[in-house]
Amino acid sequence: MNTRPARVYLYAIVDSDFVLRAPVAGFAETPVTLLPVQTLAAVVSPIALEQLKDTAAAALVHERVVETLMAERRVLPVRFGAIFSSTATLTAALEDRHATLRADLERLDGLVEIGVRVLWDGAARRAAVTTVTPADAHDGPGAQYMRARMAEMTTDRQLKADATALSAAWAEYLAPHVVGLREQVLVTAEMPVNLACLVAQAGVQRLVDAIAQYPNQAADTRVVCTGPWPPYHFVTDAQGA
Amino acid sequence: MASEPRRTSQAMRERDVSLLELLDRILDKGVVIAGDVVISVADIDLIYLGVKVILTSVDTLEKHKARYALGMTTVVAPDADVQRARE
Repeated sequence: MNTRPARVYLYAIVDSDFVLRAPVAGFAETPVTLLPVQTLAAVVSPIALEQLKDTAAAALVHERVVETLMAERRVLPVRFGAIFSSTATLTAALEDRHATLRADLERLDGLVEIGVRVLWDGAARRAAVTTVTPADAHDGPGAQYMRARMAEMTTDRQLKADATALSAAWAEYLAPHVVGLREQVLVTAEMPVNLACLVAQAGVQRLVDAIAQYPNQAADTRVVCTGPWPPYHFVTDAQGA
Repeated sequence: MASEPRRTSQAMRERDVSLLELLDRILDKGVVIAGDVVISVADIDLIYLGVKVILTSVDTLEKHKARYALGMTTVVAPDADVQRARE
């Protein structure tokens, strides 16, 4: 028999007058409930830690809850894995951050996130920007190593510069269509640009159309666009940024 | 041979979304409320590796994406790739 006490899992933050018009299933199909905290409400359900062992399945439960609520009214998505030993500790944690959460909920009202990833063939790009310096017959092993290392660093710098320029071009192109933008450059060798675009729900289609019509797409790049997502990238982080 | 101006990209809209794309967001972004239970997501490094692999080509994306109707996915790619992905 499992005697471990159930803990409280936090999915999202909503307005205190949010009404769940139909049951929304959380972990183990247990309906989520609302825990009022001043002008906000926490969307929670009981959880046993074992239910998080399958991260992928648990992530889907988390996201389904957030997106179901988002279809009704504005929602602040909480990062996966916020677990509390009791509603009292959760309430205290939310009271500490109430002002920031309240401001975020207002600021992000009606806005969603669209992900834009620009991809290229990392190996081919690397080969294209690598400059091969002929070996000097007088080079010893040390000089050869240093020469190779210098060439590698030059290649890294060039790839970073290319990715930065590509990201800047995309950011400039998308700026008229978005409310906010988060950029990551050269996340992996295959992904020079990773953008999170904050956009009004009514503007999603215009943004997607603009992405599809990007006029300067290089032949060796492709773009993957996903969403609409809850505005995960645009909440104020714990440091206040 | 006369031909229409070639568009370098074309949009393909779908209802599916990559599970890895989802994990990339919810494990690293969103409101942080420090809980009093710490969970460790041991496979977080694998997730970025997975994203890299899954997005290397449209074909690969098609084969590996999780078919959960969580939102809309749009793939913009050179014409040939879009055609291949639709087959």
